[in-house]
Amino acid sequence: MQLMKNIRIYPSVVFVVLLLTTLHSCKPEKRTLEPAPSQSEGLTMSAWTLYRVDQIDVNKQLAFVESDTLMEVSDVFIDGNPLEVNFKATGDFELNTGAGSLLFPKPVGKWEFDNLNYPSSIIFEKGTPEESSVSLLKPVRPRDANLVLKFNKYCGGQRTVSYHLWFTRK
Amino acid sequence: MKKMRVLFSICSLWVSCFLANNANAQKAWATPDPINPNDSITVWVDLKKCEFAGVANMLGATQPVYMWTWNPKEHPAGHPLNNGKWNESNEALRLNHFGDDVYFFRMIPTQFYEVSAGDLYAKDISLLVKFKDGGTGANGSECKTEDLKIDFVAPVTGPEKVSCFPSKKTKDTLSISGNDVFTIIYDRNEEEKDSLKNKEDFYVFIKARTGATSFITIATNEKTTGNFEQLAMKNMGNGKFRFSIIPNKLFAPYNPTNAKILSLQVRIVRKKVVNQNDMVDGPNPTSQFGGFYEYWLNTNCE
Repeated sequence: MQLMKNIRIYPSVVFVVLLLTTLHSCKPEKRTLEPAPSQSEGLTMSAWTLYRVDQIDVNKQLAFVESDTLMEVSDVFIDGNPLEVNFKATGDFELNTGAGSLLFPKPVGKWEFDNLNYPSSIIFEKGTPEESSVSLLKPVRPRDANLVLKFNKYCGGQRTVSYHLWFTRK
Repeated sequence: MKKMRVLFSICSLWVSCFLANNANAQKAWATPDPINPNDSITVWVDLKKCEFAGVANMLGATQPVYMWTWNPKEHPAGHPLNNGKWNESNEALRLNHFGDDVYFFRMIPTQFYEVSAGDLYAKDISLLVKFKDGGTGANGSECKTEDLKIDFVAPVTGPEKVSCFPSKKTKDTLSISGNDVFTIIYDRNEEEKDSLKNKEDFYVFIKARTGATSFITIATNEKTTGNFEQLAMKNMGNGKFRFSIIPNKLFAPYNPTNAKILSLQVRIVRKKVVNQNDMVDGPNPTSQFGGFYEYWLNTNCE
């Protein structure tokens, strides 16, 4: 009688043990996020060469296709040796005076991100009367091949035109 | 009820901001923007923004002020909407006081001026504001504003034969300066001249205006334009051609005194010009070859 009882219990115990083992093996491994890639490193690890310029029409309120408000004008800007810009980890920048450099306020100066961890723009000559900024249109992590900056031009407090400058790593 | 009050407050704030924004920007303007020439518009004048010395006589005044207008059309004497006499304005042109020296006048422009919408867009509205008697006031100046102008930009109803990029900010003025990229676009699909259809060798005869009658040119005339490769238009495909320049850069070799470029006049021509059949007509049918397309640059900021 006892034997019969044990025979009935053993399969249940085995089943529970197997179930627990299976569940344990399905438990996902604990994963941790890598530290966010440093955009400062991404920006400063190489110099950048201008290869494309888009002009943005800020006067049009309605646009049905992109060409209504955006025109590539690379051939006008880059008609010789293209602009090269070098952002240094020291917070300095310098550019050669190649085609397209007229949008930068100065050939040399200081730069910094608006937010070190999550930058959305680069500020030139912060805290000086010459302070200006450009927007980052894409992240510039070490693995990113391109740097895309948006320059807004203003007159009397109103935006007159914008340019998107596309750089590739040198 | 509470929701209505909040909604009303928001609407009031919006209207105030809208008016304040316009008032900051201009002496005279019209709403809505853009207007429908065949529908009611409101003409606004902010005396505080006006600069003529006589305006000082009118600020804060309790007596009524009147509109004196001559464009797009001045009604002749005897017409019910004639301006009247300088010392006795027509009561029909009396303005309403909005407050804070801002005045307004409601009208349907094509009916008020008895002109077509095309005339209104071509000539705009010219006016001044005055006391009923515009004679000399307390400070020795006439009780009136300087001449004021309200520009209207005709709506674009479809593809344009010749257009520019970026588009014009006002009727004939660009927001960009001579250091920016300026592009002329020719849409051959909109061309009416048979002699130009299917042609691809287009050039731009371009003149930079530096004064009322002074211009800088690269080619001396339409016939020599094709000799300058820097004046060639690029074929964009689908029947469109473009000519992109940085005006100050293009004209620098021809501008030894570094004169400021005020506007650009352009005429599109073929590489070899024999006669008018090789030129794209300009925008003004009454001028020779239709005149030039002219684009005024923003000279406030280089």
